[in-house]
Amino acid sequence: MTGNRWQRIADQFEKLDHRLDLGRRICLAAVELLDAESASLSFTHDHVASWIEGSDDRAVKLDEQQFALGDGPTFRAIGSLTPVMTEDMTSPDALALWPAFAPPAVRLDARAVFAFPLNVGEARLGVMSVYRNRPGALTAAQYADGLVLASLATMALLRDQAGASPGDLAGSFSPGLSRQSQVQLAAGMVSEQLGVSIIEALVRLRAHAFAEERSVNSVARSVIERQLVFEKEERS
Amino acid sequence: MPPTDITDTVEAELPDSSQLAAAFVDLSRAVNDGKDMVEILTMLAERCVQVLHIAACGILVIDPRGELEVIGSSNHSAHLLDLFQVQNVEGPCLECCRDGEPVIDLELSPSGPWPGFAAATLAQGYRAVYAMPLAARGVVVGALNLFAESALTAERATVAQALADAATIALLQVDPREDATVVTRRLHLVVEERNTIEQAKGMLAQRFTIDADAAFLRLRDAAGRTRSRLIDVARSVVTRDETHPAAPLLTDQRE
Repeated sequence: MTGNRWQRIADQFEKLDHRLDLGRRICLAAVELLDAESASLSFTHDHVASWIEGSDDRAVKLDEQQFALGDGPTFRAIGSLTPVMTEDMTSPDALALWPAFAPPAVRLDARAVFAFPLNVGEARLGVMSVYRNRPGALTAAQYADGLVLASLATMALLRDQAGASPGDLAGSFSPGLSRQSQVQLAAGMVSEQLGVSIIEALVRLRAHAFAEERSVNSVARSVIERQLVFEKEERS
Repeated sequence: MPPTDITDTVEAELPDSSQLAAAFVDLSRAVNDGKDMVEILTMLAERCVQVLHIAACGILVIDPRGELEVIGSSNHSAHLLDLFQVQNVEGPCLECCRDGEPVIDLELSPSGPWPGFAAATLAQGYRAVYAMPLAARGVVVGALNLFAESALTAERATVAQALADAATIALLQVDPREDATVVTRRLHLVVEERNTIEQAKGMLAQRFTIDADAAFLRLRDAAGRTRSRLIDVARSVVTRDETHPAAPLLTDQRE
């Protein structure tokens, strides 16, 4: 039961053109797995998109509009712990909820919008948005696939910032071997050691693992056992 | 086994039935008070240890992304977490989550079906392990894990399953057959809240030079004293929100 979903999505990735950048591949996989027409990744800082990647131009445009208007499921998902789903943009509910974004969304044929936050605990990195031309909900399986892809994008972004090669991301799937809680505990310690945000701490953990060719789990363990302490002057 | 069975037949045979009743009352009160799931499941794990007279207890859920995640445990030490992680590779819990049936090993042995897990567990002084499914209407969402020095009585094992059922009801709050998406959402949420709480524990562990266990107690104490939800206090710690009422309780006064 555990691990199958990761594995299936890893397989899906293998089928995509490897010359494409990872963000683009995640968008394309989202379109495929969630039976949608467009998908995007927006990376954010303080509710401003620092860059947007899309499966097509429309996805990028839909994201840009939401950030410009400060309205819409994607914009709302930035601070959300769970996905923000709008099943029909033409419904009165959707118009009431997204007064600024619903009309342009409908003009661009985005009838259903599913926005998955890119989060690890309190580390909020952005949003993956999935756009469909028809109204309707995601199935539970599509919802879960969306969560896996959003986690993948989150990992990719952290690794990218840590200077690690994103190429072997699919290979880092570790079904059934989650040491997630240890990594988060260690990130909290590093955040306090360096006086930096939790995102920065997660990046520093990964950068250290990459530089020493160790797994992030093993680095996290050293931090928890207080064998490894990050020092402020270590920053370059 | 439905929880209704145990109240009639088992409770009378247990010397500590009042403790058991208190466990169920605590659980329903915590759910009604809107406490977050990490806190509720941690409390349940602690209660299991008291009521069942076992050494340790952990509660795991299946993250909809596919991994098994420890959400609450009676004891947050790295040792216990190690056990769970070894168990993620092989062990009763994995089997229990896969098949949705209780998996019980009363005589752990390095030459048994899960040698690595047995060795690690025996090294902690536990010989018996129980994995009870967290399942509702045929949908398995996790497992309750009990570690004991010796076998539980049949009555206590029944109580353990009743507590697992109660945990499942608290966790899901819906019929998983009717609303699979809500179940996915809830399981995802509980894992993310756990991540935030781990991040906060790490910060407090570093700030006060204490271990993860003590950091959790400190967090829970601050939540209790300010009548806040645990997750909200954890969030305020990680985002360094000094306006939260719990902030003065969690500041290092030595500086």
